[in-house]
Amino acid sequence: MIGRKFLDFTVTTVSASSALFIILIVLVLIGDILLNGWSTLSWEFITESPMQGMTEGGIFPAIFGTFLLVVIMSFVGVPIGTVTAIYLSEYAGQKSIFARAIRFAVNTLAGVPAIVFGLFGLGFFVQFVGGGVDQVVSGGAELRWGQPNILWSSLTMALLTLPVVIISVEESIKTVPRELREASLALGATKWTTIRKIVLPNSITGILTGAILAVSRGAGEVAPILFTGAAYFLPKLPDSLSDQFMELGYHIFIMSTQSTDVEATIGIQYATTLVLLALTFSLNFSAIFLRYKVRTRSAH
Amino acid sequence: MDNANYKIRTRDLRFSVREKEALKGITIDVKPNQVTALIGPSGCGKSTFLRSLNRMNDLVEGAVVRGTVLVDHIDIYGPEVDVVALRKKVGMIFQKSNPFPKSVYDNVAYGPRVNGIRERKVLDEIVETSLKQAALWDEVRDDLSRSGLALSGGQQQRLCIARALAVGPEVLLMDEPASALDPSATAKIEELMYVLKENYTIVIVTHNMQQAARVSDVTAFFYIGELIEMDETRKMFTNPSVKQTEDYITGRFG
Amino acid sequence: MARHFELELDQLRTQLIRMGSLVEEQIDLAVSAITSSDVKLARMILERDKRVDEFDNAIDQQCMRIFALAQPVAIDLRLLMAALKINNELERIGDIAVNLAERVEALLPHAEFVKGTSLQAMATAARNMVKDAIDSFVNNDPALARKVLESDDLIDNFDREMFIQMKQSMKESAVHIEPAAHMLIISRHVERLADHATNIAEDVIFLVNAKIIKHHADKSAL
Repeated sequence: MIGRKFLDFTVTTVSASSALFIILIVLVLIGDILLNGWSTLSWEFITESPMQGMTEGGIFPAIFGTFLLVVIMSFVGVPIGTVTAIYLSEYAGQKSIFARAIRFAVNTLAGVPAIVFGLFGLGFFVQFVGGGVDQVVSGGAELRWGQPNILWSSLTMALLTLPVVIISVEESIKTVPRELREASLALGATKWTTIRKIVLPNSITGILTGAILAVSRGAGEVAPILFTGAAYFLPKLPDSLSDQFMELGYHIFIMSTQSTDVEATIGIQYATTLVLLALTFSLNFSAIFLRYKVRTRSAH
Repeated sequence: MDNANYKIRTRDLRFSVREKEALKGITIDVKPNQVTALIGPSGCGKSTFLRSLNRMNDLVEGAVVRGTVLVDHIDIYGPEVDVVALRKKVGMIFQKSNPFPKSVYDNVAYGPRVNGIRERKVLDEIVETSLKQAALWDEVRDDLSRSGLALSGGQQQRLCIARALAVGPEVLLMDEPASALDPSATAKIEELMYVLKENYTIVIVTHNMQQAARVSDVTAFFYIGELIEMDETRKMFTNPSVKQTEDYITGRFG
Repeated sequence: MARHFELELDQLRTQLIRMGSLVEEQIDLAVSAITSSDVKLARMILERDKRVDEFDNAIDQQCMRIFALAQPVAIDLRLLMAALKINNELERIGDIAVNLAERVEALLPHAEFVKGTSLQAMATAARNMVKDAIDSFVNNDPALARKVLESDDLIDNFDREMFIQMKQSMKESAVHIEPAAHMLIISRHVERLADHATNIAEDVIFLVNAKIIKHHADKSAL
């Protein structure tokens, strides 16, 4: 009937248009950034420090700071997340209260806004733990740990990304077929040996996916590091855990809202954004690729 | 009957999961160096029974085991029993072959390595002996580093047998080992059992009546969690004592 | 699969029963042909033997098929084995009927002599054994089969009696030698009839009880 065909046509057109619209937006976004930032991008930009009050020079310290943040965060977050995931999938009974509590906590944590993590990091890590360490070390005289630094920022970020790691690793562990575990146990291996030699090696892609997703989020989120350690201008690179650091996302934020001469730094802003986007995109794509590999393997 | 002659004895073995009884009091004696076949329709408890013999049923949540299972006169459900050691003594081959995604060599060497054997020469010897015992050596000797998953279905199952033999068991439990294989692969596995029973005690679950008739010395018929009849295979298949058994093996039901 | 298979087993039984009836009839006719000197009847018996052979082949083929395709076990297996053996026995009984029929022509001039012998009684007894043996198969009746086994002695007595009688006859007159010779052979045939009947009875006992009673070896095991 004419009515039905018309409906068909309408629905197809509308959904195609929506899809096109979204692609258009992404193209505009990336296009805008590319166009405006490309000219400022150069080898020197990536390797030099800012000069002339941020209006010239490069953003190397911010890249270094981001890198350091992500490394420390991963060293803390990935192992804890992996171990938790192993516990949840291998050791905890499906119905145990403890397991259910952990899962509830993980799911809740996944929904907490990033800024709340930032405030938590400030109150707990910086003031409570940091302040406490200072008390113990120097009786409160020397303020070293009780202020924002890269250590507290990394730990706060690790907390933020913990749910991502746990969920990814657990998902990957679950794809290891039960038959392989049974085979190992039937040969007289203990549960831990089975996990160590069979389950983990076969779920390594999932662990990596979790780690990469966590890193990607860590490189992109700004709110958690606002109060816990990021700084706009530092004379030198951080050389101890108690130092502050520069970071890409934070740098863009400050530059575009609070710098003394916003107009002059437009090019740098765009270029910095471009670098940050390039970083997060490549991380996300590699995570997607790894995820795909996990799924096709579990298909046999 | 004198106790000394049995490898495995169960007395009133009961198994239930969350109030549902899967085994209702099984009393069976298994003689050493023989093939004992467990037959019965789906869901009759034969696989559950098999898994009780090496405590693989411990993995089932909410499982309750009552009664005794003696392996070499020791109750394997006793408090002092080391389950890991039990599983080395009583090995298992599964229905769907499950080689590890490792090389043929590493598959067979997995068990010994887990037991602490590190010396390459010793491992080489164990791998070769086990693969020979499983009648697979000639087919894989040219490339032991090839992945276990690259073998055919029948070869994979023999690889699993070699892997189980490598830890030096005394009993082999086989849960429908040939059900996923084609006739010639099945024949190879059955032939293997004739040879293996000289050195091992074999208990096999099968729903293929003819297979049970071909390979076993003793056959036990299970039905809804109970043992209906157990006798020499020759007698069971020419003149069973219980009508239910006869109805089952002639295909009248089940 | 079971239903189809059961149908085949039923068919096999029916074939055997039909063959049994045919063969029983052949015996009846053969004895009748001898005692009433009926040559036409004798020829008919020869003709009908073809049908006996047809049954023999058909049953053999059927058994082979069932063995190959159904891998029977337990009672089905025993039925198949019994079927093959009973088939064989029935075919031989058919042959005996033919052997008897072949003697009719030669005995035409000696009708009176034949009537004076105990052939009728002996043949009736043997024929009854055959009938009982076949019935015990039809009804799965081991008690009847045992009765057949016990009747074997009766026929042996008849046979011995016939031998003594013929010896006497031949001594009395040289004229009797020819018919007496025929009668001795006929008696031997009838005695073998009884043997085949007991074989069938033994096969029935094996089928029902899975006991092998061979060659009357262990009557106490009955």
